Amino acid sequence: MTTDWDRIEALFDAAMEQPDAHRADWVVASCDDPEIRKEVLDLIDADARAGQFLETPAGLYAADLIRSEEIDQVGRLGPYRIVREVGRGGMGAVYLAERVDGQFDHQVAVKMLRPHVANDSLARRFLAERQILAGLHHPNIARLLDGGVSESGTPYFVMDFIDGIPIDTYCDENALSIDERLRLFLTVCEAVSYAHHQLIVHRDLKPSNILVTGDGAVKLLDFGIAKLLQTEDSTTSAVETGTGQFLLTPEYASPEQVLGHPISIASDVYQLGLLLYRLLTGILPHRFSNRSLTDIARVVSEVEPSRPSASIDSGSVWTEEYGREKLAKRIRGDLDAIILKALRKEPGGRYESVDRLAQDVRHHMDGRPVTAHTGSVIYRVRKFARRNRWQVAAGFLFVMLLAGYAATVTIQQQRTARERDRAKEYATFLTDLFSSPDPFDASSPADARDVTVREFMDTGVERLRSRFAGDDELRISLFETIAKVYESLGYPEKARDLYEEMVTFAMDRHGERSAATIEALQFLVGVTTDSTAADSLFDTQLDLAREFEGETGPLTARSLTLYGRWLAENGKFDAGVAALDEAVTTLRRAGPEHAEALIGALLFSSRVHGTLNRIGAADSLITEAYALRSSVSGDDHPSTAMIVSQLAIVAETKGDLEAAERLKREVLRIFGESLGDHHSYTLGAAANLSVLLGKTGRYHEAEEMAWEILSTREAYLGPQHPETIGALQNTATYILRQGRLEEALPLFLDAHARYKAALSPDHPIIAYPLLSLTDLYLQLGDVKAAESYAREASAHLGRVLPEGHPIAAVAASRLGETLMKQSMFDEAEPLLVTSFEHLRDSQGYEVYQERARERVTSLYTVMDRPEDAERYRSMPSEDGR
Amino acid sequence: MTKPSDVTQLLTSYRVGDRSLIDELFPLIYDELHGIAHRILSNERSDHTLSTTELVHEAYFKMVDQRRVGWQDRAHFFAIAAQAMRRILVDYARRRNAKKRGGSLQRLPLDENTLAIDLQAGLLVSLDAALDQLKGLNERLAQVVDLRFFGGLTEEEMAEVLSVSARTVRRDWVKARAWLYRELAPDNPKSMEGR
Repeated sequence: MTTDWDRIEALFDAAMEQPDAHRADWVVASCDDPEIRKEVLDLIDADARAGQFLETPAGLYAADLIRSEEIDQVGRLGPYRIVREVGRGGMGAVYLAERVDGQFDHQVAVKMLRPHVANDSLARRFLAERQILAGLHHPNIARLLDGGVSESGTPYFVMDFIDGIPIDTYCDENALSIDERLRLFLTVCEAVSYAHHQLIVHRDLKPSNILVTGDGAVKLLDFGIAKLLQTEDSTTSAVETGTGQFLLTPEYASPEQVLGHPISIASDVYQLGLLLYRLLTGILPHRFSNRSLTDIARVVSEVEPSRPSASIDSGSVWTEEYGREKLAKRIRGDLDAIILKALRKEPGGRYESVDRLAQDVRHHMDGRPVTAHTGSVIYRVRKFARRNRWQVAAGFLFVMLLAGYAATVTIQQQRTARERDRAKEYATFLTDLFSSPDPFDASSPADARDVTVREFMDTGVERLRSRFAGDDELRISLFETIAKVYESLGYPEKARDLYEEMVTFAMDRHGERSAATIEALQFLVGVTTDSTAADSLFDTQLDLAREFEGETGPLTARSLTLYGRWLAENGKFDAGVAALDEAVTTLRRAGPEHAEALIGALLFSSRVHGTLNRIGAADSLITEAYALRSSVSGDDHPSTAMIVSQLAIVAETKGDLEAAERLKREVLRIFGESLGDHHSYTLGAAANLSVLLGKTGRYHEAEEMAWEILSTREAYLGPQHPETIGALQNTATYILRQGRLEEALPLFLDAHARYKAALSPDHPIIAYPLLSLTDLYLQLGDVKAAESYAREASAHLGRVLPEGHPIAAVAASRLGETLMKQSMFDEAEPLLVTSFEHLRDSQGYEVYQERARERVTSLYTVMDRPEDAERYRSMPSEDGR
Repeated sequence: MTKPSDVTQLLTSYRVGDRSLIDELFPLIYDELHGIAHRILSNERSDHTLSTTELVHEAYFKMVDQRRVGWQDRAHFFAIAAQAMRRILVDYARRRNAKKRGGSLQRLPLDENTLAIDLQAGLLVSLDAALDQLKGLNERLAQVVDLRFFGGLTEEEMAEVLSVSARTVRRDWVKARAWLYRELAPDNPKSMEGR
């Protein structure tokens, strides 16, 4: 045990030296003892979640604890004699007390506030507020009798002493019927409404502040007191205090409170909604997994409460006695709608007043129509779709995996018994993976559902490594499945790691020149995008295939497809087209079992031909692919949508924008229906459509779509995912096009910052927002700023891209323009001329080439060199197409 | 009343592993700390929080004749004081817990169902138990928590007391905190066993 613990400590120490994100991976790689590894991973996880745990020295506890005994001993606070302590909480302690001078004949409650904020400011605000609070006279509101600051500087309130119990306990203990509960609730509403008319918001409505006395009278406590305890800096969240303790009960905090937004009567409406939820179902809608401030803020402001009728507490005596089914039936409909309307995240979406809320409750009791239903269906559907994006998507993945499993089993049943056992193991593994914890099952607790699919897959890989450590063949075949899921989720780098392992394994087991190695290499290059290291990888996989199979085999053709695609992606269009055409020719002859490979080759070939403006070829290739695809998969299959997407691009290149739009909408429909509205493919299709809308000048519509895509990706891929940042950049671009420059500016800056944080420093895309910013500042007329952004973009692209790359040329030309506008002709001229030459040498950049040409000619025009201007104006485009 | 010379005497004659001296010193320091804490709180100082750092240092200056002790003695004093501080707080917490269970409180929770100070008291009691367990795994980890959380010592002071580098102290703290968090976190099923 001791030696184990020593190893755990050593491994943990070393792991903590690693960057946060790599710790877990590092531990997995460095330790093969599963128990020790689990222990270390547990500790790393605990460290990550520990927040401020134990960081506040014990002194704080000491003061509270010691004082609690102190007051018992001293027995006196100001003019009040303390009888006994009756309660204690985040705000302070409450004592039952009597006046020393006998001025009052009844007992009072003295509430001593814990000084969270500087005493001076608290005392000042306290005195100001006291007058207002003392003006509240309502039979259901506990009177504020007095208040002051004790000799030791602690503010205190003196209130009516209410000998009662919290409303929720009262209802349950007396087994009140639904109607009785609703009537009690309406009484609470009346009191709150009265205070609202005196311009006082309670801010902290919850059962412990709403007592019911022995004779059934409701009394609200602590009106407006929460406000006093808030720091003057209203941007601070109300649940957050300087000491890291919670001022308000997280379960009863409103979204605007946790977010630090302004508090209004809408906050009380929300808390009344929570109260009604609690009174009718026995529970509260929100649970918090770790009670960190971020967790609370996230849950309260983002997680939609489930319908009360679907959330009835199974553990309470009252709900059991009433009958859960009967209760659900009673709540379903009106009461669901009323509560959920009160619980909308946006204050503006709730009831506009407590009176309106009460009115709906009364209408429900009278059997009249309630207003809450208006708009609620749309609201729910929209929210549901957002929340369930990955449930929908993962459903699809699960089916994919099971299909793979079924195929495996069928094949393997024809093989040996040993392999049947393996199939069984495979099945068990999949079942385990998908059942614990199941993030897609809406009935599992909220925190389990929040596991991202990515984390979930990571767990799968982790389990694979440990469970099948001894069975390489099986482990590797499962790696392939998981890698494909990563790919489809948009994590190529994760897939890449697994494919690399597959390659290594295949080379060890089967040698370099084997179908297994070549196939693994093909998977690997399929997710490889970084330019420098990849050249040789693409060459290698093709060379190996040719050596293994000869020039004209289907495996070689697949390698050629990948190679051709790679060449085209790197601007070598002619060579790329040649490779792809060769692959197409081979695969057409290869027989129907290679239809998938042929469709792939046709698709890529069509894309490259399209880029080269060879519309005819692009059209006929993709038409052939479509015929094959739809005969194999049908019209509504996502893989068919991939082909339709290229059909749309061809139509767009032909200038048939109407057809292009129709086809893009078709792609969107297919993905939406088959993968769900929030799958990355669906979002990609939406992004494509939005680009087309932008092209046809419908920037507003494009912007709407882009925002939607952005918010979905932000929620599910996280703000730093490259696809999310791409959506941000697009959104900003549409805003820029609509001339809302000030609005676009911070978005571009944000996109740039996020790219820098998310991508390797050599990624060219980091410069894209900078180019947009150049445009933006040119439009604003700030040429100096435009120049500095263009300079940064150009320097970056010049550094990371090969000499003469068209994208670097675009940036250089843009920089030249900003210099030209400042009459810095000497520096502008070589930049503009060289970049134009580079763009003439490049294919597929005609639009930019023409802009670069315009800049050169206008430069020479303003430099008063008309011959040069004319020479460039009439210079033919290089490709002559 | 304890005179500085008594404690100084005890401290300077203390040798590693000498249990009996710790037994003699501990109650002296405990009482002194307790007295200071009381005085600070009843003197109605405006800030109302106690700094354990100040407490322990104040006790030290009051109880020890600094001219006559070396740094090892000072280290021993702080080590014992931190433990005494822990004991004081845990004693308070236990009393508070007992009072709550005894039902002397009338049912009137003004702020929350879960009362913050009871949570603190509960945490202190379970922290105390968890620290005893941690001590079984690696005594130094538990000591670092005593010294820092209860004693309010700085990293440098802890390094001095434990005769290790400040870096080691830092790493021990991270480990100890993670381990304790895991043991005591509300979502840990183990922490529900009510150890």
